[in-house]
Amino acid sequence: MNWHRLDREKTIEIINTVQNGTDLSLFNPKTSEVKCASLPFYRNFLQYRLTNYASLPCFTFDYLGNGEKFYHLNGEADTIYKINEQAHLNLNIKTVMPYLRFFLDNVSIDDGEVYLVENTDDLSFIDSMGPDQKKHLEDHFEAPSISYEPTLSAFIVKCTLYFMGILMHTSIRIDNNGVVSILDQTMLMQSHIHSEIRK
Amino acid sequence: MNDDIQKSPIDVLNKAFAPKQGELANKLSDAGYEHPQSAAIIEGAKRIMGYSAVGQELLNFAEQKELKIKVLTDNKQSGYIPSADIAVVTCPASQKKVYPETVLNLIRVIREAQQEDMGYSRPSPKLSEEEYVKKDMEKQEDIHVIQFHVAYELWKNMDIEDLLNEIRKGGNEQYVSEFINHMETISE
Repeated sequence: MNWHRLDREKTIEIINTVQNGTDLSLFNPKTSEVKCASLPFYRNFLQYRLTNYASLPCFTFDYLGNGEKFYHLNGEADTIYKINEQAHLNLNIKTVMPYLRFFLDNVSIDDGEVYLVENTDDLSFIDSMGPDQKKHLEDHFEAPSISYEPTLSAFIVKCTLYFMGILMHTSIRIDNNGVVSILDQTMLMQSHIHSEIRK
Repeated sequence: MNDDIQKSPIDVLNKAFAPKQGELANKLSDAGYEHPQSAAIIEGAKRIMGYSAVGQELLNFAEQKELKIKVLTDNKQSGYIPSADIAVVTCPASQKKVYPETVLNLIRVIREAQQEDMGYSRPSPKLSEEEYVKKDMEKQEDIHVIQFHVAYELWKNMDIEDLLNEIRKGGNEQYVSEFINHMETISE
């Protein structure tokens, strides 16, 4: 993402807006920065990242905003769905993958993080595999493919996910409102080592 | 603390991704940082810390200094002291109870508040990079030792190994073993 750091005046304005109505002082303008990045699937909303550098470790919250309203990306899929209604979500063959990446990055799941694996190089544990396992993975790995299904009024992304220690092929349905669901899965490989994905 | 029942990945994902009708408008119209299970999470974390003498000392400190402990909703587990009188722990909205990581984060933030109280303040950005990193690492090391102490006491006194296992998850297996050996040696 191409982040753009905001000037002092705009930084203060946004900090005041996101803290309005709370008794919390999460961000002090003197020690915090605000940056923003455009997202190809929203026409009038940007992603904002507020970081308080006075805290150890640094304290970071992400928001989606249109310059006036800011919504905290709190890890719930519902928050993104609601923002989609206001942000004029623009999904097409080119923007659906960036949307899926954004969605998976910003929705938290109790059982661990879910990773979209777009290349076998993303898997650090591949180096520790035996030659047969490595060949099996490379032979069966599929790069993401996208299609639009008019009968479902949705995009179908066939891709590989890593979740709960399992590498799996999945078909992910993303409708025109951005609602995501998994249609099916086929296990590609199970790993007992966690946190082996190169982020 | 955490249920380890084998679940289907597709069911877990679809549950997390499903729209929840009717809850959204209110959530977006207020600042909505406070975690919906804030009270239960704080109570659970305090109860677990209270099983350890070191953990209880931290809780006593927080009470004496009237440290405000807040649980906020975020897409990650973390712990911060944004200002001297507030300790913030963040958890995903779906979390209904305290997890080992949450307890470790609460230990972190209370200890950091204690460091401030003892005059062991955050490094100034005006310091040289070398001095800044040195001071930062000293503070982090001190927090890790306190986390280990609480985790060790929970394991030793109550047979609760969840916190030690959580610390091990970060690739700190050897560090945990050495610390346990150290604690066992000095208690002989």
